Amino acid sequence: MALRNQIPESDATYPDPELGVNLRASEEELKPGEARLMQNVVFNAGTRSRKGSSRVNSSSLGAFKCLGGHKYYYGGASPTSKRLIAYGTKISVLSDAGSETNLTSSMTTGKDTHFLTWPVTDKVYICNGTDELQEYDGTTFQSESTVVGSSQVPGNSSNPPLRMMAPILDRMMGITSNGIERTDPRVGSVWSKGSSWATLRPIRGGMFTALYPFTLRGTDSLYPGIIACQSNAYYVITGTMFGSDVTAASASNDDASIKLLSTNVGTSSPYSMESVPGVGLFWFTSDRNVFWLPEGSLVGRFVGDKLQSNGTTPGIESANLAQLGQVWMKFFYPYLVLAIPVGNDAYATTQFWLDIRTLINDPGRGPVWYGPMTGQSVGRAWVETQNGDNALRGGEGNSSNGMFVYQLQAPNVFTDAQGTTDTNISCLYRTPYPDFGAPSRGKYVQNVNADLFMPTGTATCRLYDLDGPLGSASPFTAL
Amino acid sequence: MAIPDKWGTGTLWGDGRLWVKPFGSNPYVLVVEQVPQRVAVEIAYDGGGDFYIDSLSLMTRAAPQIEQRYQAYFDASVGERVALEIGYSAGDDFRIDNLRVIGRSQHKRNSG
Repeated sequence: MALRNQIPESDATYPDPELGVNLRASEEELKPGEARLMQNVVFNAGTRSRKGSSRVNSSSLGAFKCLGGHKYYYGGASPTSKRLIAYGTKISVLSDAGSETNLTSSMTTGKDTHFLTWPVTDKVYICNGTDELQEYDGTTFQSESTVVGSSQVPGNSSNPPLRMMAPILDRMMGITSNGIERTDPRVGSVWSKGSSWATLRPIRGGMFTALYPFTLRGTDSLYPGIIACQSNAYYVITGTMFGSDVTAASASNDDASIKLLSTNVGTSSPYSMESVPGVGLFWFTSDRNVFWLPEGSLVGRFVGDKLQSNGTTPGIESANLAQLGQVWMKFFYPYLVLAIPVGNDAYATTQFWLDIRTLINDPGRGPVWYGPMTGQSVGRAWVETQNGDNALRGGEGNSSNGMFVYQLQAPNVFTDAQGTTDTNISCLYRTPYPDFGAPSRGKYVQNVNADLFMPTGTATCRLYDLDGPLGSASPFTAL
Repeated sequence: MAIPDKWGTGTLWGDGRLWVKPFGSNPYVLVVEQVPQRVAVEIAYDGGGDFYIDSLSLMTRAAPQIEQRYQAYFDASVGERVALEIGYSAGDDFRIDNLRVIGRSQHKRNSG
């Protein structure tokens, strides 16, 4: 029998969270379609649990955290690949079956490690900001100076080491304490070194922090470029010729330029720079927001405002300022995954997922984020999508859990692998706070009806009003 | 092509099972006596001949009681605005398709 003054049909249904989570707005300001909390849930044809993770290596490789990971695709007409991981002092190959082949144990321990596959030489290059540049061709792993006995290799002798690299046309560029150095054409072993013309230097104080390839769009042309960041500025590097001999005292055949684009927005999180096809380049800024540089454009904007929490749920404002270097972002369709160390965490413990499908198909909705995603402690992540691969991989960030590599967003997995433990994903979805068309009246709630899909277990429902939770959660029972 | 008198697996017209039969302005009518909350239809044809659908319509009325699959009971008076928090941690696939509160507006709070 109908209740007297019953909440009408048209108001009684909570709208789907098509606009994602909004941690910033007050309870009164939340719009229909937004959610106060989407812990470990996404909206994807229903509000549903995110996918979990499974481990690649079944036993720990030791009490280390992952310092870097990369899938090295090579071989030209006979394509093949190897998964490279860095931890402790080691660089190793880890097979799909989880078996390890160690390439070196001579790296300085605990250094954030970057990999770059350079198709020009079909090799992968490895730097960690401390040691000499290393290379691997799938067979031989060696220091770069071994290749040619060159004195021009970063990290060799007293040369400043490389911290991060990016390709542009027939060169690699890399960050050292000198600025941005570059190679000779089509070789990985001859680098500029504090050159008056070949070394690019910043305009603002402080070192460069990150590099990422980026294509500029002109009226009728595309121009190769690199976005270079300092912690509080970003630049574009472009050109068509980068010098015949980068060790020469003066330039020849060089039209490279570096242009300052912003003196306010940069990054302290080199692992956060990520390109999304057809959308643009994203990174996590030093003031803890997410910046989006649309493809082809040099004018960007912030897209992380909804993740700046004003409540008890930690958002991006809680990212550990002392560990911004551990922030990472990776695109694995349809989500751009942002992972941050929260509070005092030294590795990424909380993720937020940006729905790229919505950003492309329905830009009027603005950036749609889901999260926080909790239950993982992934310190590095990389995408493997060539040669029939299609996976997002992650390396454990907590040395106490042991060194493991995981498959993230694993199909039909609803637990998270963390070390040797598999933990159920804990979903919490909190709706906005509608007044059901009677804003001045209190409400009597008899029950909540729901269409749920859950093969096992029981979901619970808890009421909240503007003052907070009301009593304990009630279980959903089947009708 | 002549319209067949009736299609279906039942033995009697109107026995509450699935029937398709020439009826009124619609050439074929399917009779389904169910009370679902949402309705989709799936049309199948494997007769081997040419087949097309010109129009498809549903003749129904709203039933007085909403039928949903799960219910959480409260019997609670709350403030003017109400949010729901749904929790699930059984480690399996989980999806919320529809969420509705059954209740009423009542006396004015914080008046005076």
